Amino acid sequence: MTNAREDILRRIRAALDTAPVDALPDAAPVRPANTTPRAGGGLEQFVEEASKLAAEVIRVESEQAAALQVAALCEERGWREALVWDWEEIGVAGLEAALAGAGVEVHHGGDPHALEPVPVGITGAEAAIADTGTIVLRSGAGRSPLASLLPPVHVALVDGTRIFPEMRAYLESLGDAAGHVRAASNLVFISGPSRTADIEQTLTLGVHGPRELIIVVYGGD
Amino acid sequence: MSDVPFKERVNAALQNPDRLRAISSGAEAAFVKRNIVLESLPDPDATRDLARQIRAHTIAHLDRYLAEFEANLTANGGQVHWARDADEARQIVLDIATRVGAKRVAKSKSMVTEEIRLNAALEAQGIEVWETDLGEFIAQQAGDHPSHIIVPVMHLTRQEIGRVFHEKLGAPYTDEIPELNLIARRTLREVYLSADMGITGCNFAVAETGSICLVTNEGNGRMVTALPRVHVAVMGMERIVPTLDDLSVMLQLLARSATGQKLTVYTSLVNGPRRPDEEHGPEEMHVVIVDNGRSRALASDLAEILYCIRCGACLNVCPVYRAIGGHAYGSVYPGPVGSVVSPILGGVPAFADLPHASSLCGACKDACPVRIDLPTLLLRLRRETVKQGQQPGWLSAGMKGYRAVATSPGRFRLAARLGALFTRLTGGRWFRGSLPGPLGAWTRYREFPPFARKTFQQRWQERSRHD
Repeated sequence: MTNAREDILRRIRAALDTAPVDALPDAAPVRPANTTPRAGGGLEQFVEEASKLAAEVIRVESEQAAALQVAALCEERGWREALVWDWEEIGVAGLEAALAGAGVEVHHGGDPHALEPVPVGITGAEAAIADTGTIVLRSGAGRSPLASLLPPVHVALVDGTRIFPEMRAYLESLGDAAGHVRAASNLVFISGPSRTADIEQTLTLGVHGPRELIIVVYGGD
Repeated sequence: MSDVPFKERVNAALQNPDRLRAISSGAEAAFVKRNIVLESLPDPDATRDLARQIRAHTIAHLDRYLAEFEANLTANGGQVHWARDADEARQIVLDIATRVGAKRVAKSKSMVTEEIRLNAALEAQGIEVWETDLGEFIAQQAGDHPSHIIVPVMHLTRQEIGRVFHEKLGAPYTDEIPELNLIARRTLREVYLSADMGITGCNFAVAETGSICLVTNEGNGRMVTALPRVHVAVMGMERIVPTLDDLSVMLQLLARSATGQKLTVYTSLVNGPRRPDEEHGPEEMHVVIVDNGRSRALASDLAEILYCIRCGACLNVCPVYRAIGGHAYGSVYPGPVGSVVSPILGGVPAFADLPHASSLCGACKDACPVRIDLPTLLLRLRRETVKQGQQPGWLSAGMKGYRAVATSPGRFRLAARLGALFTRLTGGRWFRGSLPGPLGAWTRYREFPPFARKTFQQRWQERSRHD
């Protein structure tokens, strides 16, 4: 038996050699200017779009205020436990102390079965995208994908100066976007809480992932 | 494919008007949303042109981009497998499942795994397979097939779903939608946590990073790729884009065209297995690149169908799909795109009727985010069905007869005069009702217009005389 890989690549090359030229234009795509969103694309638009998707957005002045805001949410909602990214990965000064002050038992990892009943996951988004109301989370050591996935509520902290008008602007800001993305095993763009409309086209939140997404934006204009 | 002939499948579908109403209104609602949200792009037409160029460029260099993708994913720690056909693809997945001792598989929605009939093959090896997309989960529990590529159980009512959950999962009967969702959530939580292997499709593969991009609204795609210790993604070999920038263009269109969202809730880039310093995520990540007839399409004048990004917009807008629903197509891929893809993958003889299941109105071409010329592809396939002798005998005989008349002026004149004479003799009344015999099927829904009392040639000559 010949090698499937070589066989398939040979079939493709043979097909491309015989295909009519107009059927398979070779031209490398050029992106026209008008395919990127209009002006705007700041914090205001992000808040508007994320809210439309049923995410709750809370704006605060500073990192310290963000930490206190998260602690206040825990007290208000009665969350005694939280699945939290490593402190330095969230990068919000004072969060550790604030959660300790609220009496929250913090898990930075653990067996998924044991983590399943934890009521809230707390993460830090590396960026946000205004035109789609999206936050960007990158997995890695101390940044488990489960924190934004297993608990019924996901609280994401976002630096208000890291908001980009659209996905392309975010990718461009990375410089070597490909290198940045593949350095992590997983990168996810999250736009609102988990949702489905599979039954009679009726919107329901939280079918597999979190039914609530709370985004705390600190700083920015 | 189904053993039941197309016309019988259509008749069966027409027996259930409630289902057809649900499909028709669901499809229409999705299309209305698509139209509104597409307009939120600064210049939707320019974006669609660009997306088409990206697809065209990628397909024209498919060998190069597949090799680049393979090299990059391998460098990320992933493993790439190649399958010439469905048998090979199934065998590759089965071999991985056997090697890792998989007993339970959690799957997120994937057309290509349905195309290669993966579930049955796994189950035959005693492996439990759980579909996790809510719609697919319901279809699987109901022993039913999806009727739409984006909204699998568009055809079921919540009462029907409540009965299925009651009978199959032992849940107390309810027809409240939030309750039904909760039953699925609880059941599938346990599945995610106990599955040994997660299987997904692949919405896009990115060559420059070795990533696969998965989009889900429910989050099941993330669960399936984060919790089981092995992740296997099965991808049709055309599902590739060169760069992240190209991906961002395709993402501007996919969710808008599919569900009328600007972006799907979870758009994940999976770049390989978990890294040595990570606690969670799969230990192994495999991608199976599937040909299964795609290289044949590439070599044909139907290559453009490989641009398809599987958004389902052409289904939602198609008057035929709306009238007969997805099941009548008898294929994993229904609607206009299915009528082209199914004969390519499954052979023209098996799906000879599908290229005819279109009024050629062109709505699909207008709706397609990458502007695939579906009506032209359907016409090319119709020609192919004739070449391969798949046309019914009566139709071939009729076309031959018509050709004999239409290509000879003398015979054409004679036939036109006979028609006019016939109208005069019967006063045109004979045609008001239905045509006799088997021709009656045609007049059941249409009127057969009487022939003109004077032929065109007669009137032309009279007119010339007056001038």
